[in-house]
Amino acid sequence: MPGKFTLLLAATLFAVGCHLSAASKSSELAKSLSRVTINQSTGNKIPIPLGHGYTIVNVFDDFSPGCPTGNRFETIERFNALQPAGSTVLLIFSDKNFSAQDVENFKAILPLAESMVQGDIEALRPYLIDKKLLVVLDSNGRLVWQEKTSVSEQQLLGELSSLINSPGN
Amino acid sequence: MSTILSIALLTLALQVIAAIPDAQIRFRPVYLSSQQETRLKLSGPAAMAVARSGNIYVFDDGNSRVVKLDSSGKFIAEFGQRDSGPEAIERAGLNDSIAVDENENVYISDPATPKVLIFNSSGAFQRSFRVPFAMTSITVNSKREIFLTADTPRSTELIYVFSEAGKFLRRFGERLINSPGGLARNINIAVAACDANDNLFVAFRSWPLIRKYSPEGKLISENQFTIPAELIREAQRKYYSLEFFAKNPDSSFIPPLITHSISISGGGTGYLLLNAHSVVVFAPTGRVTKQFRFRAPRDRDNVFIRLVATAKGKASTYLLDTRSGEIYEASAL
Repeated sequence: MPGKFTLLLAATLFAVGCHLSAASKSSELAKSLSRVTINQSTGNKIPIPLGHGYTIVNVFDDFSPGCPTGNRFETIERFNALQPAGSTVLLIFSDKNFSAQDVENFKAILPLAESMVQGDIEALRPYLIDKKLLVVLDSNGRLVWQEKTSVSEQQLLGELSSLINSPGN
Repeated sequence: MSTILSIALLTLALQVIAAIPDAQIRFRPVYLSSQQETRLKLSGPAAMAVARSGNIYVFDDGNSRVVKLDSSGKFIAEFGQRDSGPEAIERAGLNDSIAVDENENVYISDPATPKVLIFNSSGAFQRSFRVPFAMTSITVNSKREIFLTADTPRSTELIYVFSEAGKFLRRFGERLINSPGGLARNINIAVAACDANDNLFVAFRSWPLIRKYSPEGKLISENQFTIPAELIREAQRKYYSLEFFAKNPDSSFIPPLITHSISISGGGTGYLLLNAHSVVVFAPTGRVTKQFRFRAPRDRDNVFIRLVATAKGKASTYLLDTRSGEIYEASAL
């Protein structure tokens, strides 16, 4: 009996530990997101602006067509074409790798111009997946969804669409 | 493009496949990698530009650097090496990725990143800017406006123009096929070169057409050249039309024609270098005046090479053998 109890306790602790670990990581990511800033043309830096519904935020540390970053841009384009009601899309290009002029050029050349901004994403660097990261924030700035590793762009688009279309949004 | 012009191009497709006459061209070695010490050997050089001074700049792709030679082929400098920080270039691939302006500033289009890097003639890094598409060639006019040919599946224009400071200015040039898809993308790949009057000449990599645009981007003329008959097998000919490409944009058909490079001399004569060692010469109007095959210095088949005319009035032309890393000056073309 003590043996079974010990086993049960260990399993419970393991499960709780895993859960706490995941929650903890998510919490750390949420804290890091709060340190991300957007560069305004005035020179001011502001936190990520939140919409009335979900805010879909993708940060880019790099951008190359045919690579994961370019594919992500196309995914966001497809997502945006679904006209997700009440949600806002924000594409933040790292000010370490993209000048303000670069972002202005991107806005002039690519679709989604109104969603593109330059910003300081250094706080998110440990969480980047293939030099990019997609997260969803609710109207209070709470992290409600985040990109995971080894998920295809098609799967990601499906998850994102489900989330946005879920009741309560 | 008007419907009438489109139909004309479609019907012309089969008429311009013909045998090309041979011409005797002499090549004088300017730089032979095999005779250089290890540090100076070129490794898969992808592109070359010749300045007014006669200095030669080579995008040494395998070594991720630019090599500067004088007109006699003497090594002067290298720059843009890997791990050199923000000025590091990565790779050119099969693209015509180097241009030189009148002041001998050197412009590199790095399709890997993708970005444009600018150096002065001493190799000192000036600035760079990012572009949201891969590029297949770069050229610069007398105002130092930078023209990039875009390699993108998007149904957008062919040419993007940026200021010297990296500000996007304008875009123009209608695609041959507007469908999405891999084959459509390949057919729309183009190379471009400016003449001394800032007109822009554009040639498609796999379609026998030369377009001339005004400095503002207005289409002035379109001229076809002949596809060397040996490039296309009889069975392939029925597929070689814009109509087929438009209907089958994802077809695995590999267009057999490859226009490797375009170059304009100071006098306005233009040169296209095609595969099968074939050269197309065209007048400042864009009209094709001559087409011939030549025997390459090492007489290899399918060697990937570039032909570059100097910006000086004298019509010197240089040939780059990307496989052996050799540069030759060609006798009068």
